[in-house]
Amino acid sequence: MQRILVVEDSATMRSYLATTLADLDPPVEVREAASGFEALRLLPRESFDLVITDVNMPDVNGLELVSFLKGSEALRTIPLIVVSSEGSEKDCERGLSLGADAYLTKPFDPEKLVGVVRDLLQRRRGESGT
Amino acid sequence: MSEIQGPGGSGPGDVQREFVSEAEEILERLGSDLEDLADQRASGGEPSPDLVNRLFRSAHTLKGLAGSVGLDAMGELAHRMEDVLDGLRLGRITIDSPAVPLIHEAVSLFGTLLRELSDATEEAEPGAVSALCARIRESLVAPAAADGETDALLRLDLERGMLNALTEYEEHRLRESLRRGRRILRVEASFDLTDFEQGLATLTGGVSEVGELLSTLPSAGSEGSELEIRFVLLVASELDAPALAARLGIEPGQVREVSGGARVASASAALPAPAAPTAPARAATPPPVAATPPSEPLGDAGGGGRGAPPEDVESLRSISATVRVDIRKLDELMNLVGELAIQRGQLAAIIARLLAEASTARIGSELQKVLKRLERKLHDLQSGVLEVRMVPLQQVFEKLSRASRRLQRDLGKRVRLELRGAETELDKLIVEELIDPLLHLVRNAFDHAIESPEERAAAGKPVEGTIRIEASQRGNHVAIEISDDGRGIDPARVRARAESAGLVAAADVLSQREVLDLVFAPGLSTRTEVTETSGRGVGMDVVRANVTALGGRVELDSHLGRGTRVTLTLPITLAIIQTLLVRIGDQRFAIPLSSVLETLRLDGSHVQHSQDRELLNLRGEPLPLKDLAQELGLAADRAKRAFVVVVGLGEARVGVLVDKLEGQQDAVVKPIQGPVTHVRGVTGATEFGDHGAVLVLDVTALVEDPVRRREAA
Repeated sequence: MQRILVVEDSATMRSYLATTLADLDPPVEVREAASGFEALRLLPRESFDLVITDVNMPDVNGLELVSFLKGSEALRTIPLIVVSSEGSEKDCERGLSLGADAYLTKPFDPEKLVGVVRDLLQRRRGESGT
Repeated sequence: MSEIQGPGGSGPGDVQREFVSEAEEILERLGSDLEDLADQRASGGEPSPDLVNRLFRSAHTLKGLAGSVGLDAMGELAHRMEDVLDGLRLGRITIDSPAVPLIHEAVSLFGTLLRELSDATEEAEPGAVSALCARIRESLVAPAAADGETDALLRLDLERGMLNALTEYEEHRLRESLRRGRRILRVEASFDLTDFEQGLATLTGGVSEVGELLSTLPSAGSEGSELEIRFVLLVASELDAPALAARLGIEPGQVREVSGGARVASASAALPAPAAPTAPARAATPPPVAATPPSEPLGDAGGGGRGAPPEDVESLRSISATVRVDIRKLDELMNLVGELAIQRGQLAAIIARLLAEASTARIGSELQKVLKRLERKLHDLQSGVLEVRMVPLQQVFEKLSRASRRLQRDLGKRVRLELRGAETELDKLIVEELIDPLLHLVRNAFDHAIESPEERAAAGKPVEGTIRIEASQRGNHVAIEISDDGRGIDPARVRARAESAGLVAAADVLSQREVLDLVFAPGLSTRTEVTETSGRGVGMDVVRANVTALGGRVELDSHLGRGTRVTLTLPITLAIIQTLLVRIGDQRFAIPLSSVLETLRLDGSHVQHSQDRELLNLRGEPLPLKDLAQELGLAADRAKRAFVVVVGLGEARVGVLVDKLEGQQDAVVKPIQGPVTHVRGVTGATEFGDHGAVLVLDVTALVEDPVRRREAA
């Protein structure tokens, strides 16, 4: 089963994302991190097929997380989606220029999220041959 | 924060419930941060960037949440708050902008919407939201942002990747720091992946003392080591690289200044400071409802114009139904009620005279009926005024949890703060006076009681310490317990220190409780070292003095190795009290009824003498007796003491000997005026219509332990 890491400091948003991702077929396992720090601890230890991260977080922000992943030999191939609220598009675009694969602005259409995630996971399956 | 279930575990209803509880939490934080902002503004300083950014983030999260749950009006409202706060954090508007006070209104309206939502009714009238949103938009006439400083950033001696990972806000802070001529330094540090948070927190804590942390960029450890994580911090400071390294206690090679050319170029081309402190002379904190037009136009940024047009004032009224009132006005009202009660007493005395005469008895009894009705209304009025003064402990609790977060950061201890009974209500004045003692107790617990994680682990305790604060109402009192699971107080050490300070003699026999009580003695600190957090000397004696001044009592219970509990018992209000009127010799005294446990007829056969004390055997328990006539030096015949009034506060009890019980009276206590301002054992005076001035006994002083007396002597 493919694994997704959701990095988001809002419990409601985490829960919303997890609920939305539960609609995916084939099913995925969703791991949640409530802060950038938690993500930094999880990433080198567990394997993920996709990371969805909020931009605005208190300790380490989403852009810094993107930069971390892209700078790491072992983690740079994990697809990345950057999520932020309407009005922070500039930050999301920076995310893309740092190497994120997609960005979404909140509030987003669940179908759009599922669509983007499905594409990225499919591509990942193709690459790793699983 | 609530537990989140895995995928598929939560339905749409759950999401909405979660939304309400998280939104409430965020609103609470917004509220207290806005208070801090107002404080900073009132003290004339510039608002701290961290605070403004936190406010922005709260509004931002709120917007995202509301949007995701499909609550468009709330989303819109949060969006407007976010606009204002974004403008503030990016320096587009100043703290004096007319938009800033509107955030308060938006927060309160959002709260209203949220409550309506949780009561399962539909979303509120969109009229209120769109009116406020329009006003916020109008007040935000954005001046074009001066953005010609990209070059300054490019002149930084910094890898491009670092610049690219900055958010818009971080970039703004970086520019702002350059403009102010600060140095920009790059600090590099590697940590073990297992505990990097602690190491990083120490480092960033050090940074925030001497500058501003602009960015925290993580990267994988050197040579792809999976057990290591590296951070590059971008710091703005007045210090140069060697000084910063020394200050942070790290190798000089880890710090490098990157602002060489950029700083000079940017600082010389500096714009006139946008937040020039020519703000309206201390334009006090913005009131939530503009009942009267401000005497001066609020701010000048953006040319938002003078006060709002009249229609807007109308629409404002429909939004909020609360008014802020100066507590002194409530005091005045309370005094009036008290004076009315005195008039009532005089009226009752006249009626009694009318009733006594056969010729006027009829008119007397008619008057008495009217008086009864008047009394009822007076009573309602009194409880109404009292109710208005009551506020929940919530606000104090919020301050405590903020302090606790700061302490965790500063001390590197892991502590969970549990707060219970935030809804417990107390007189506003008492709540205000409680803040300092409670903060002190929490700091004490953090600093002295909770052990280091290593020590705790060695003692077989959970690594995370717990401090619990629990408030509850007990009759006319409120009890607040502050307990911890720390190392407890060592009675032997307390005793040793008290002996060396001359508070007790080596030969004195003291119970465990009396020994612990010595902690409250002035100047006794069981800690020899001074720490930054709790300081030294200003200790439990101040806590006790503060609480006692409120007519309350502090009790302490501690078990070595297991923890300490401090209990504060406080009256609910100071404004008016019910009293029991007693006579001792030729004097009348009033005893606060809230502390009277029972009254007994004195039975001499149950009195025992022990040393210099008299004890009454009360259902098998010894009760110390007090003869006030003796203590206050009143001429009185001991043989006349016929009653015992048992008073208690917290766990302490004492029996007061009196001649006569004269019934209950409400009393507005006033401090004693004139040459004698403090009389031990007396809190103040009150006036009763037909009794003249009567002294009100200070129960706290009455029940005080004899140990305290010795040390006062």
